[in-house]
Amino acid sequence: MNTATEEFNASINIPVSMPATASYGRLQQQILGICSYSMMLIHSIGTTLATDKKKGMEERRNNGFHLPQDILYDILMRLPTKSLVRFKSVCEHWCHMISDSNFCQVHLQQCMSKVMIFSWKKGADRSNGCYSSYRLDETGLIATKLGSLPFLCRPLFFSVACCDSLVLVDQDKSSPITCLSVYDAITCHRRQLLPCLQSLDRYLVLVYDASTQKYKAVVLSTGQSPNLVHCYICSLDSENEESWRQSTPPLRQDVTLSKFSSVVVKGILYWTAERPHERPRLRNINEVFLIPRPCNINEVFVQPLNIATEEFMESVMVPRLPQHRYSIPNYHMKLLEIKESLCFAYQASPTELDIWILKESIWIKFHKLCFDSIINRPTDPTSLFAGHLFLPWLVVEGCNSKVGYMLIQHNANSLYWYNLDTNEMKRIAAIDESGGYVSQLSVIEN
Amino acid sequence: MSKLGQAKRIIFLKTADGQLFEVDEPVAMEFEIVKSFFDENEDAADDTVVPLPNVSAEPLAGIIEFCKAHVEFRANGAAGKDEVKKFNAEYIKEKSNEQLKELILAANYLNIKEMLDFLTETIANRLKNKSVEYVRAFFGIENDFTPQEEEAVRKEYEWAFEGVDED
Repeated sequence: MNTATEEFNASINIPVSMPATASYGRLQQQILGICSYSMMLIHSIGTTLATDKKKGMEERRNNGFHLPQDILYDILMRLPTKSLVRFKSVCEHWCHMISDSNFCQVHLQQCMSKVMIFSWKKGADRSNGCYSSYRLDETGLIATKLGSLPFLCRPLFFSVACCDSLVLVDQDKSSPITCLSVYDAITCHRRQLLPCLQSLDRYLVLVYDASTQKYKAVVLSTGQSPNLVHCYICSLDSENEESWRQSTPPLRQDVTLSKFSSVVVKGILYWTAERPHERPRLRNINEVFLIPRPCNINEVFVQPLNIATEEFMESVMVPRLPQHRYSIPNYHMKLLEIKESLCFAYQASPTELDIWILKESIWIKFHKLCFDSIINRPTDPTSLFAGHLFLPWLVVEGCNSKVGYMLIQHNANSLYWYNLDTNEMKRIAAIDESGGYVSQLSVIEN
Repeated sequence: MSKLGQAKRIIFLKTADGQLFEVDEPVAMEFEIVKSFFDENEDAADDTVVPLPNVSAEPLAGIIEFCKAHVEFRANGAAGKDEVKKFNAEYIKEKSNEQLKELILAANYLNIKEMLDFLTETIANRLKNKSVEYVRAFFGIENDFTPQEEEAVRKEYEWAFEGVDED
């Protein structure tokens, strides 16, 4: 062993009594670790006082718990963005590590790779088809298949909701009795739930209740009399038989719920609902021309449900929508979560998506996305969205960027990552090239 | 050197506090540092005692318990199944933060990849909903921000400070 190596041994506390041959591999790793750590320090501290700071940092590290830098890096890499941005205020060293552009890039890609896509593809007989789940690779740009549901179904009669890697499916919406099952996309474990109600027009949501650490299935049904929407909730216990509880939403029967548009923000499930606009009764014919009236625009609102207490809360109005004559808002709205705030996305034109964020009960216009780069040919703004539908699914936030990436579905099965900081778009390699469509997306937590 | 098919070989490990552990070969070979010791000293006698001067008895016992179970899981083809998750959850439930830190340092020194993965994941899970103060105490980190600097960082990411667990 030469002198240099011995000095290293002393400073990193590898005992010299250890056989040199055995410790070599580990030693080399530690040296490499220290080199990359020093490089990071030099990189992050800048020019002034670099040596003083380095000394201070070494001392501090020695006072505390001697965690090797590569282990600390691995721990930080596994934390969600929210924790990372909070932990920037732990100390300067952590702040530099978390703000490092390489670290952020790797972390963001890791977040993007946690997305699970649930998509339908038509089968040989053209009506029945198969649902499969996919997971994105570490680049976030290529989807690989995890598995398929073990039965064929027609999407018209099928309802689905995802949360983490779990998929809640209603096999036959046309049957008055629910036939619900929960399917784990990773383990392929499937389990049938007890039937919960006898009604049509069911909407499903699967949520995670952090207060009880259990998943909950939520079924809303609008096709039942008297004039009420019914809501049934059950917790998915691992062993026990689940039981359905009923909660009464302050919704009337004439509302339409959007099956795409539910989101969970800080333990509250939000759902968009619409009811036909009530026009003011006209006193004389002149008012037809005097009172500005929206054309075919329904009243849209957001209905919150507290997941822990299972109680409905007061509804929230959505921002004022543009009043174009032929819009079908149901298909052009989506709720999202950005930085733990409720967001509302609305496709305002064939190529534009407006996003509002709810801050202290006020909707603030947050972003405008433009898809001209996808639609290369000219579009006719008066036509029914010129056949282009953009559905924003979720936002993946980076710990060093203003926002991050939004995952957007274009028409049936094209998926894109939209960089909200630079407005660049990257296409995710096609899931099902023909005859398929993406039905649900979720982010896998672990 | 004993090879497959021969009688079960025992590896002797000696900890920093002088305790001698007798470990089945497949379990000891989970420790990269022990494995490379024998790979590079093929003529080592069967009763060679491998010194582990950076590891004390308590974390080593914990590590052996973990590796033993995982070697068995792999042998039974149960790797990645619910059984393993259940074992891991039970294993870590009773461990204090202090024990966890000792385990990760020892697992890092012994270079046991599977266990390191599991322990880093566990620490990340324990910390993710915690306050900045909790994290500082956990790692023994001193706050080196000036109050103004800290205020500025906190203000920029105000949303991330809501809904944090009580310490």
